[in-house]
Amino acid sequence: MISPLSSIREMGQALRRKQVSSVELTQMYLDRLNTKGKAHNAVAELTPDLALAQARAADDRLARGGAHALTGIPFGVKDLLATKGIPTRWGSPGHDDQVFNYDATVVERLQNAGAVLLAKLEMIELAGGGNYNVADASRMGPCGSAWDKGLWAGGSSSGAGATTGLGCVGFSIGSETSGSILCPAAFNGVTGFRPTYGRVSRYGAMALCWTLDKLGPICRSAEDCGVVLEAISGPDVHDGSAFSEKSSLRARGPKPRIGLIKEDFTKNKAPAAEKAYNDAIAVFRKLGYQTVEVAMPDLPYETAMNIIVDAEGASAHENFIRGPRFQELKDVNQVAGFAAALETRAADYLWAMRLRTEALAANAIWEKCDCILTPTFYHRSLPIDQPFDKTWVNMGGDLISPPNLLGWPAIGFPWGFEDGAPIGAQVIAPAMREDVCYRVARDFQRETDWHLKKSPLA
Amino acid sequence: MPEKISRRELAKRGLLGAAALAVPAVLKAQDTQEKPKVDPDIDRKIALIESKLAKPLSDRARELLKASISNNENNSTNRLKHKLPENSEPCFVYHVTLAGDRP
Repeated sequence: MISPLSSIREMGQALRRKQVSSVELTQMYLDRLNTKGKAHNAVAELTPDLALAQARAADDRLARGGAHALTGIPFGVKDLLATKGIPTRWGSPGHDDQVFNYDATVVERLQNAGAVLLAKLEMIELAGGGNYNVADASRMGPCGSAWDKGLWAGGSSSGAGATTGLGCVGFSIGSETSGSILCPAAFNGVTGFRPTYGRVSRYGAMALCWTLDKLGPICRSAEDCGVVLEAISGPDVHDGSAFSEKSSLRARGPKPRIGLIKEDFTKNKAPAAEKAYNDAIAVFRKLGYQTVEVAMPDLPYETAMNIIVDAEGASAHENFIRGPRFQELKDVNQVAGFAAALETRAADYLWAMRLRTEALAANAIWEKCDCILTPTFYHRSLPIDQPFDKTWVNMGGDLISPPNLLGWPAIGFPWGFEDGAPIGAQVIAPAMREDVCYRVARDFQRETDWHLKKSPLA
Repeated sequence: MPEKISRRELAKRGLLGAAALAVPAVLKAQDTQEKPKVDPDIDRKIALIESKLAKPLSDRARELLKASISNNENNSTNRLKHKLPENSEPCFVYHVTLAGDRP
């Protein structure tokens, strides 16, 4: 039987060589979701009947030949994506009876490619837009990291990160408004790809912030992320922000110049991250990459991000906030945050959106480099049972918000360990240049094996 | 490095934005170095927000709401420190489309 931690390429080869069937793969992952996935509070809803029917259809398609690279590969999606006839609860107890009668564009595209939908994966309720403070801000309870159930899986795409790291799915789909793909990627030792804003249709995805939300793959390697991103990107008449062309990850031009910002490892007491960073730079130099010091313009990115999340999040969910089930949210911090956000001023919101215009000047950084390499966070994940305002110390993460405001793509991937749990890096590139993120991360993973490390829980 | 850092320092280092979603709310009530000013109008503001909700808030939610209101007002104040060019446009503009063209 094939390893549950196999890559998409390995699973695809095994399927084509008839060493395994999609039905067998699907049953293996369903069993693992039922045990390991549920034990980590990572599963919102299993879809066994649909999955097995899709797997049988995939096996037929494979037998006929001409199948897509994803045909027969089982996957899970963050529970903010609409799935026809299957509950879509947005991680929120107040939405536990919500069922849509259509599939999100991303789900539809994956199913059209022949991929097999195994499950809806748990997430932080309403993607955390009310400013959550506990891992338990999730309908199914706190989601444990693939590496240590006592550590948090990250958010808000918690279940996508955990199940991918545990080998409970072939790959998964997460979403990011400001860090929600990169954070679970770092905390579960997996690879997450946040595409440029507009690269992937948001149709059928819960809105938190219409001007910030992105959907992207969470996989076990950059190469897997590339396969999935190419399948889900492209124009969509249902989403006016979607680009008119698909992404192309084909390498263009000479090796990208890697920009390095000033890091504060000592100040943040992060020797493990410092070692990972220095080791990675040595790998890149050995591969012929050049590095150059760069700096982002000093702008109040975070103030703008806070205001936009408040304004758009409160507007998107206003009926719920004003409705009778609002206080069913699990984290009372979210109740307070969403309620206060109802009062966000129009002048503040418009200032934030005007700041984003001014922040476009940050694109000047790409005259000096082609991408930026930085730790996603300075430390591993945090204890699952303590409020974050007590534990979120010296974590860094300075380059989470600014690139999200600017719509730039980033890929997050593992590059070391701290006290037995993974730590991760991100490579950020200019808008529309996912190919740069992909090339750099793929080259790193061809030279190192951090992404192949197996969790003792997997 | 202090074990707890101020909200201003968090914002400077990029944490608060991340806190909105990816990462937990590090948060709105965390500031231990800058004591929030007592807002004499806070009870009225809480009552105004609560009047929009279907059910009264719990005592704990009301307490946290104070911190959230204060935090949002800090955002309103802080953003004024960064003057934008007069008349500059927001990052979106209105695109005229025929009704049938809407997604």
